[in-house]
Amino acid sequence: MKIDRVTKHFGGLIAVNSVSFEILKGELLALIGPNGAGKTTLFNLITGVFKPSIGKIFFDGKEISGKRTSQIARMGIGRTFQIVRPFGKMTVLENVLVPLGKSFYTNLSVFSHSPRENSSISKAMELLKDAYLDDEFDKMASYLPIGMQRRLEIARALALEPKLLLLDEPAAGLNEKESMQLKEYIEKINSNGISILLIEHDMKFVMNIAKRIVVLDHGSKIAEGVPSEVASNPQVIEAYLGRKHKKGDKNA
Amino acid sequence: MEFWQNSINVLVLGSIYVLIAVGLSMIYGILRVLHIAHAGIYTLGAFLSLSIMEVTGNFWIALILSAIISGFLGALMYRYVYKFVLKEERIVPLIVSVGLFITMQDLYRIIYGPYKYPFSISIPIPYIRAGNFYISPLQMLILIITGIILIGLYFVLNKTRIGVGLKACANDSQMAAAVGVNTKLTIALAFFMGSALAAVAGTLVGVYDNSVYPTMGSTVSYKAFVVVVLGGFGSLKGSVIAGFLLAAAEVFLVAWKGFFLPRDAIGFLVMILFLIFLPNGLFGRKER
Amino acid sequence: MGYLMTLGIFASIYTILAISLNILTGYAGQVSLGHAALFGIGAYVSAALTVNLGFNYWTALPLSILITALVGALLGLPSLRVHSDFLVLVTIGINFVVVALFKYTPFFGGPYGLLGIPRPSLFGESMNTFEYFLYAVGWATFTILFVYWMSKKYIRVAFEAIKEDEEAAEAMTISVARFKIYAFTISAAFAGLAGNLWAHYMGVIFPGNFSFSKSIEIMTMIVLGGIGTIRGAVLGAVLLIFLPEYLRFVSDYRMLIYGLIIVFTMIFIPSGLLGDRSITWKWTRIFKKGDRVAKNNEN
Repeated sequence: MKIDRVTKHFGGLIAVNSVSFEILKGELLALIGPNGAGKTTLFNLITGVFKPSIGKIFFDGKEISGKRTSQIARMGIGRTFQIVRPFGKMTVLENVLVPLGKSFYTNLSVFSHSPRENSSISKAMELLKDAYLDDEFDKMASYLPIGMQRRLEIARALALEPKLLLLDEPAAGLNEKESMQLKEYIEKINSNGISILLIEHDMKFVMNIAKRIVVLDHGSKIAEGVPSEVASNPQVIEAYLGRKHKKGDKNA
Repeated sequence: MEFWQNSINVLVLGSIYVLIAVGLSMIYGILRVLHIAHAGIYTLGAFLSLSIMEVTGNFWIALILSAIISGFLGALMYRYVYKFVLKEERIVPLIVSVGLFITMQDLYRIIYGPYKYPFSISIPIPYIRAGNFYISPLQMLILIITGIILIGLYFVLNKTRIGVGLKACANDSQMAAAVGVNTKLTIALAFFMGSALAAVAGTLVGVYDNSVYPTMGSTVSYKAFVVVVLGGFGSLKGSVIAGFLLAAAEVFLVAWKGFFLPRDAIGFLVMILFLIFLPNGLFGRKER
Repeated sequence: MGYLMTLGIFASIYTILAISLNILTGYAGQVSLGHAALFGIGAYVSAALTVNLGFNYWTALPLSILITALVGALLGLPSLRVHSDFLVLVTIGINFVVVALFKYTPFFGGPYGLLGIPRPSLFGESMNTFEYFLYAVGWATFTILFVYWMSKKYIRVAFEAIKEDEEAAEAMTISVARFKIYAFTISAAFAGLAGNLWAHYMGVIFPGNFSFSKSIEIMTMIVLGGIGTIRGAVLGAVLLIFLPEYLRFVSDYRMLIYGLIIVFTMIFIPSGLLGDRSITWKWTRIFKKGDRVAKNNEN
């Protein structure tokens, strides 16, 4: 995916300012930056929730800026949300069955195919097993603890068979053990060839998992590179320390 | 000039819309529920004033008492009905509100009968004549009362602790609670104030049209929603401006072009247009 | 006996109507308090076609359903721009405008309505009450079966996802706009069917038949019976048709009772008498079979 000089303003506020970078196939790229740097806005731009004021976004060689979210999702970009939001009143299994209908939602076969088909259900259960959620398949999503809800969101996005997965602060609010589980899960996904773009605040988590990092501050890109480069970049340090944000061990 | 006469009409009509809409806006701003039963309180205010005046013979006592009683009833509605259903899906409070409204309207019909009651008062305000236009005492009354209320409201909302609490809750109720605002009380207060305003509006209209009847809330309340939509949900300033705008649209369109649709349809059309082109109204915040 | 059959006809018509609103509001979450408008369009179009233009009933039937469905699709357009709360207001306004249209258009008979609407003819003779009863029940059964069948398919999944969380649904490749229009169209088609059945049974229709209070009645039915369920819609319709007959003395307080029913049901049994999460109904999910299969896969 290529993001080319993308800018977004809302009225007088410039949320994203001429940001450009690329993600290569199979990469695991982290997007970091202090609060309000424009990271989630960038996600929303990529997934079509917003249209860039200036600039374009390309995926798989095709331009996606300005397309509908459902189209972009169909082209192979899945996402999770910053504040976790699975389909609360559906069960865990049902949540994953929703995206499995992907091929039916665009034509009339939405009237002829049932989610209860065995093939769909076994596919869904497999995805849940990978996410360590198969035991909770019949629990209502809103009753799960937050760590599980996060994994559910990821499993749900995976059911779309995406080429690129956008994860918005998946480790937020998780304890050590849950973070470890999450890290393994994400790395497993990446090793299957799915590119990952990750927003995270937890520096230790990011340093451990990302191959490359892009840093945003106040809507602009201020650094890009491998973790060790970025961690020692003075602009990055200032952006974080300047806001009294505690950075994790930069030599992780 | 006809223009000035119409302008007076706009001010008067607008005042009524504003009184109802501001209360509605407050309630929606805090609770995020379309309080359709607001229209029922409007009618209640009119009937209460009528009855109290019959007993006491004094319009002002009737007006004030009816506003207070209606205010309490509004707060009770929150405490004993809405509070229970807020945790459910969004549909539920909405439907409850409709249920409350129909119940109230039919209760009025059962208690007072489906008749139109006259409501005439005498007030010590003179006719004001200037050139070709005049302001009738009743019109003056509406303008004065609305003016006083709006000024008072501005004061309360911006200069008192209660007002600040209200605004805080409207913005972010969890945060407000965290800093010590008593959210339940504040919401009840919003209902109280909003309902009192509606009652005053109902009373004034009852007097102005010289008729009070059970279904008087229907069309006016619909327009109040139009005003809230126009002004942007949760924005009081917006409601005020939008109220006068809608009144202007109605009065001038009807007066000048001999508009082909019934007057009430204008409000509906305006709302549709705004919802399509400016879904956040003039001053509203973007909804999640 | 004939009287019971009349009630049965009404119950069938309202069952269809309630189920149609349920598709829109219960499944897809689009709250509409103007459904009577669609009911009215189905009735008026069919009536006008047969009375004014001399169409045969059996031609007018599919035409009126089609036209109502089209209007429904059009009415779905505002829902794409409007925040869900305010959709209610729009639907109320549309109800008002549609009824005004009926009242002021000579083609639709103006304020005096349309008279002389013919019964459908079977083997050359107009249906009598008994035959119409069977006819109406037949359609009601068809509606129940069709919607039940539909509720097991992916379209129901799409509707529910939209009802839950539109943004997340889009991220799952569900085009919210497309499916909202689907919901409005299908719902309108069935409302049109109900309207057709009503007009040709009553023989005469007035604009006032399709006002806001009627929309409230329909909403009360599904709210009472259980929003989002077919069995709830059926129960609601049947209850609200048959009970008033046994409680004739309260007929003057109809609206009051509807209002109270709505308020108390929403407070105490928010999912309705037969709703999924109500105490009066066991928890059953459309994926229940799937759960069993999954459990088998587990072991």
